Amino acid sequence: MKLVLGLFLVLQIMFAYAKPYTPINDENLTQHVKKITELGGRSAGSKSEENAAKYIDTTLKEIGLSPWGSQSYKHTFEFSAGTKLGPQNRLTVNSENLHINKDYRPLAFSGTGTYPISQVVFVGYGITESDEGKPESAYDSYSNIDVKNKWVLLMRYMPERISAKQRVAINRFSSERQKVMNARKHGAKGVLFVNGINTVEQEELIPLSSNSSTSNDGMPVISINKNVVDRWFKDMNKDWPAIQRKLDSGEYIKGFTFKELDVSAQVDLKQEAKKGINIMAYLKGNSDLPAVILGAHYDHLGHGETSASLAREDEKGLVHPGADDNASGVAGLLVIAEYLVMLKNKGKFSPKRDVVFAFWSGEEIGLLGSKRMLESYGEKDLSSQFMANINMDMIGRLRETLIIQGSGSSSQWNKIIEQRNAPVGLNITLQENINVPTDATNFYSHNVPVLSAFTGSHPQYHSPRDTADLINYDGIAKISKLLALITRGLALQEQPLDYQKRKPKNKKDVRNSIYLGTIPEYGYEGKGVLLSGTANGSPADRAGIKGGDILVEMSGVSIDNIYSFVDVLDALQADKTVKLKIVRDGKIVELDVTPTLK
Amino acid sequence: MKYAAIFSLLLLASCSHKSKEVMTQEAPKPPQISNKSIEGNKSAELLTDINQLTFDGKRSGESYFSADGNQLIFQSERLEDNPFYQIFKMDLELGDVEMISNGVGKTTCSWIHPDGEQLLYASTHLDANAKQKQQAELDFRASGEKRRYSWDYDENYDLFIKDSSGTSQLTKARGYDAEGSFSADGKWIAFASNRNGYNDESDKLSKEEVKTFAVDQSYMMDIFIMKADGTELKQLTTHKGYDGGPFFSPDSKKIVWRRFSADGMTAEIYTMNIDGSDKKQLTTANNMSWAPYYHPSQKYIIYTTNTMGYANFELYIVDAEGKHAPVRASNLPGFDGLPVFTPEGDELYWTRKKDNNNVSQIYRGNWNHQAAMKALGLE
Repeated sequence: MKLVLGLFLVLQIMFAYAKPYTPINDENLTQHVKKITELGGRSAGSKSEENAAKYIDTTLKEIGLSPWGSQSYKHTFEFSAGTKLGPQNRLTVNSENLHINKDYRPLAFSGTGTYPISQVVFVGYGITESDEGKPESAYDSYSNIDVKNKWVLLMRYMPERISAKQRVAINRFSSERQKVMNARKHGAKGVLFVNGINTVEQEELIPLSSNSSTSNDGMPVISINKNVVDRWFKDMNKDWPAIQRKLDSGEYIKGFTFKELDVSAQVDLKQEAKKGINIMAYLKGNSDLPAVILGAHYDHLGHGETSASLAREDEKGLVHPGADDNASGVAGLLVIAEYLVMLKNKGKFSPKRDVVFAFWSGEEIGLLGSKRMLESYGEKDLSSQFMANINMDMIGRLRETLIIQGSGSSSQWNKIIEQRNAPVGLNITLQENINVPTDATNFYSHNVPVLSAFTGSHPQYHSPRDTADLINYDGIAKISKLLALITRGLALQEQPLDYQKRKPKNKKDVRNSIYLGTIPEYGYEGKGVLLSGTANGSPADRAGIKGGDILVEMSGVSIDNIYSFVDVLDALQADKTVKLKIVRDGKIVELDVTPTLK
Repeated sequence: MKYAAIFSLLLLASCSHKSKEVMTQEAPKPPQISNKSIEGNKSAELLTDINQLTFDGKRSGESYFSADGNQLIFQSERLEDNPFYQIFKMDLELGDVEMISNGVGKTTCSWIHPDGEQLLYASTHLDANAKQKQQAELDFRASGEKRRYSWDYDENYDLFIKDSSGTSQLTKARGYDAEGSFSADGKWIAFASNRNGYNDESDKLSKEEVKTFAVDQSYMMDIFIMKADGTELKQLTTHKGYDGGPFFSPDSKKIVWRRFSADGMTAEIYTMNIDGSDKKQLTTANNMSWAPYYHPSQKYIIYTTNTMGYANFELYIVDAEGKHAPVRASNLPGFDGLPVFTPEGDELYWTRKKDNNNVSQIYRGNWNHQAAMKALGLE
């Protein structure tokens, strides 16, 4: 009996202090993540994205939030989803029409229209080493050959067995774009790319998805199957394998015209425009003070169509459910909204500021949704619109510690986080900078202090294995509670947050560290370095570099990827201005930039 | 006096214990940015998932819950123009922190009435010299000098209640009136006072008492009880030496407190009925055991003791009847004291000074009641 009585006492105590209901609970979160991931991979512009938008839309209505900024929760934005073939492509060789996608395929940046060019000239690798002050011996595939008003046929890449020194010298002239520019310079009217006959390449035709930025300046650029070209060589009694061997050793071979070859083309490319949907709702404040805006992107990678997918060979084409990335953040944002509405109804929250809830699309294709929303204001400094942005991107895998990025964006963050974490008790690692490109970065570059919650990467990242069963729902609940309390505090606060620009860190031992302030895009695999933005006030910022620019050349050296970028960067000198080439909206733009010491 | 010297080196937060204290004048550490779990709590069975609750200010401590467990009242040094503790209240649901005292003078030892409205604390804000004392202390700290001093038993401390209608004064006697708490039924206030040491009719005090009181104002400290409105004052202890830190049992029938020996060398945990009868000594460790607090089950009491050394005060529990040997509840470096349970009894909050940097803050951890009962042989 004693034991029974004891139990009774304990139960009584527990019932007397039963915690009040909160919508921030595992059950709600589990349901949201489950529902959202069941709707598919949610790539921007897809049916799956639209269905997810519908789910969020409906939930917001149930919660009782008003649409923000318009009659509808949904704010659509257009974006280019890449280049597609139109129906009118033709490549005719001696009156025979070749097969599209088997024998030939235009490049994404090819000119479009009809090109009745006739003659074809082989110019080897099509490279001209054309710097001022170069010696006569500079590499030049076009030496002593007239290509005016003709097609040039050239091999992709560059000679395979030349010295490293030579390779460095001509590397920057060997990209497809450089070769096309070079052909134009020599008066050619069209370019035919072919893989070398000795070159082992998985795909014979250059995919449309490479060179995705569009610059159509009128010249046809077509990738052609080497089986087709092999016949041309044979008809001329030319030994292509031998020719390539010579070229690969660095030897010069004079170009020649394919006699009795008549080639004409018609190129038809379409820019595929798609619509993405941002969903915006808000809780009204009782003043005109700048709003607190919370955000989480709900789009993901679809079936892994883009290079951002990290699916294994056996998973290719499967749905990428993105449970952590970022159904977790969406679920968090939904329960935060419900919680704040509940507090408001209970009289525990009468916000001075509007609290805006934004569900972004297009995050996975370059932070597009939030970017377009912010750009719609038409000004850089949006501190008069937004007091702060609180972002959630991948908060579903809480292990030891919650990572909060951007705490350096305002001097007040540390104290605010500590105060509001008291009732929650999370272990938190604060990072001053935003190191992972996420929507908060866009706000930060519009002078808005940001915080972005993140529970760290994992082996399932960007793969079909990022599933709902691996989510730590209690973790999302804790993080949501913390962010809800921070939001509530901000919305009650009349004083603005001070906005702090990024400080260079470790002043002591960075004597030799050269600083540009570019923020490279994570996961970009094209040529060059795609930038998602620049640090405010950094040399890159002052030079006029913008998010979306692709860095292709610096100080006269070609930039292939992030690694070559870092190598070149290290070789620069502080306070010495160098030339920078970027691809912006498909055009090469030259800028001057003056690096500093970090 | 060897022990006294060592003891005086300790930095102890005040309420449950007003003892000698050393104040060093280090700059406060910048607030910690990560709230890492405390390593190495070996008594993991009883106290788990520990983390730090307060970060702001140089020192925070002595936190006590509202009856519903949603509010926490505590003292903290966090004003720029006042170096002394002020009283703050934290909303444990929302994280809102509000200053309760008026920012003037010294305050200590706060408590929330079970009605959730009346807030009890001790304060010197009516002292005409309160602001001069603040400035003097600020100047001293700015000078960078260090000194030893004992806890300041400022004779201007009186008990006050603050509620929505304002602040009212409950005690007026000359002397230190502090360490007050309401009974769980809200009817009573127990507190500690050395008012008898200021008794002007000198024939009431022996020569020995006058002499000792002149050097140690805690010598004449005793436990008093009164109605929650300040009437029906009654003295419950007459023992020479510091009787202090009284808290009521959950059924409001008992008081637990700690009693120092007349020479201040040792302290033990006691209980008595609220009329002063049935005084019972629960600990006999013959060292410094203090800051006792009832678990809401009323089965046992948690307190802090220097059994493990003066540099490592640890939390212990003892059954409410004192029939079993005490059990160690914490195993953490530094000072761990002033423990309180949440009203549910499933969490423990306490004041912790983890190293010698003079910063003490409030920590919390999950409390395993079943394991505690078992360890004390109460099952």
